[in-house]
Amino acid sequence: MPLLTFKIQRFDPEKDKEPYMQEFTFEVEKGLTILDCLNYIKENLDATLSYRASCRMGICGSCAMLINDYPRLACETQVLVLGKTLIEIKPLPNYPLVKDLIVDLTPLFAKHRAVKPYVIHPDERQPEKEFIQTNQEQTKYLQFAYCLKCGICLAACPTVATADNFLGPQALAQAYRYNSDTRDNGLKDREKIIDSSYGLWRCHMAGACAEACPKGVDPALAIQLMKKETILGKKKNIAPLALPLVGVEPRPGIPKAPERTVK
Amino acid sequence: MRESRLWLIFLLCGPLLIFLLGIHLIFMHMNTILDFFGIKTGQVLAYNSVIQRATELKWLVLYFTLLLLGLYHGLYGLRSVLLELTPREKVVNRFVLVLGLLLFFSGTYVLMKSYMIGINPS
Repeated sequence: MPLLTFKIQRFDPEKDKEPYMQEFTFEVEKGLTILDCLNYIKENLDATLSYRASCRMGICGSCAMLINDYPRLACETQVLVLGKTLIEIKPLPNYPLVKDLIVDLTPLFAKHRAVKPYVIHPDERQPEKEFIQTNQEQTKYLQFAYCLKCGICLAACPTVATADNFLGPQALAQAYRYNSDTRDNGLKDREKIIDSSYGLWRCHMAGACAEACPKGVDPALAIQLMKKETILGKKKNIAPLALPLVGVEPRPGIPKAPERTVK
Repeated sequence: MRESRLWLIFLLCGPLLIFLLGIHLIFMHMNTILDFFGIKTGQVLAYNSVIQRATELKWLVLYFTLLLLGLYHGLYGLRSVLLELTPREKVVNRFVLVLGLLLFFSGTYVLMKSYMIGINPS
């Protein structure tokens, strides 16, 4: 089994003035992820090591960190695939540091919230039936719906590094995701936010966000498409509501659904 | 105004500037090439020629348009650079606007003064 050294950034705001690097050396076997190694360190070598993790399978996006100078999910990064005997782990850049490998993701969620990341109904009334959306219509935004909110794209973005108020790739990709959803009618509301000097037009198309995204989302593409749409205008079909069911009888023996509790 | 409109004007200024600057460059600085094609331009950079052109409407329009387009294109670029350095957008906008107005009035003054000298040499 190869012997690897993990150089991990440590910082306790109650004790340390500056972050420092601490080394741990132990044998690893094939199949271990960086998260497994961090768990090993916490359980066997230093219980004070702090990091964020939850699902262990690339779904929750909690364990994003800078591994060998590249932002990745620790749970999806196989330690031997990195091909190095020295592995340097730091917290994500472009975020305020909380402790060790934990950063404050408040800027990410504040920007995300700013673009109204939810379906705004064309009709103010709550729809009684579902919207009919074709597979082709869904395909237009599907890849952007895979965003985990892990914050890796903001950590990779060179513009976010110099402009705190830039909306950033995550929020802009989500704006495109909802603008392209035929169930949504919030285009005008979102345009006021994204069509600003710190919105779409601050992106310099470095493409680092798309390169780093662990789920294959391409925020740079979304930004370019939205630039085109804001210049040329966007034609959007609003999905119709499903027609009421006519002549449908429940199968015998199936009990009637209970009355709605929320009116 | 929305940023996309400002950016679009900036974009459109680019090819227009290339076209108008092309006219300026060809007639003012490439007379050897024009001579080769049999187009006689004469001493275009001589004082009398410059003053003569200042009274001709087509050249006045060309230079005034060049001034407007060049200022917008350049100052929008400057604004973009400044916004990279500071988040104070209102301050940057006001600075660029004041600088633009100063340059616009000084450029317009040169055009008007040349025109006045042209029509009344004494």
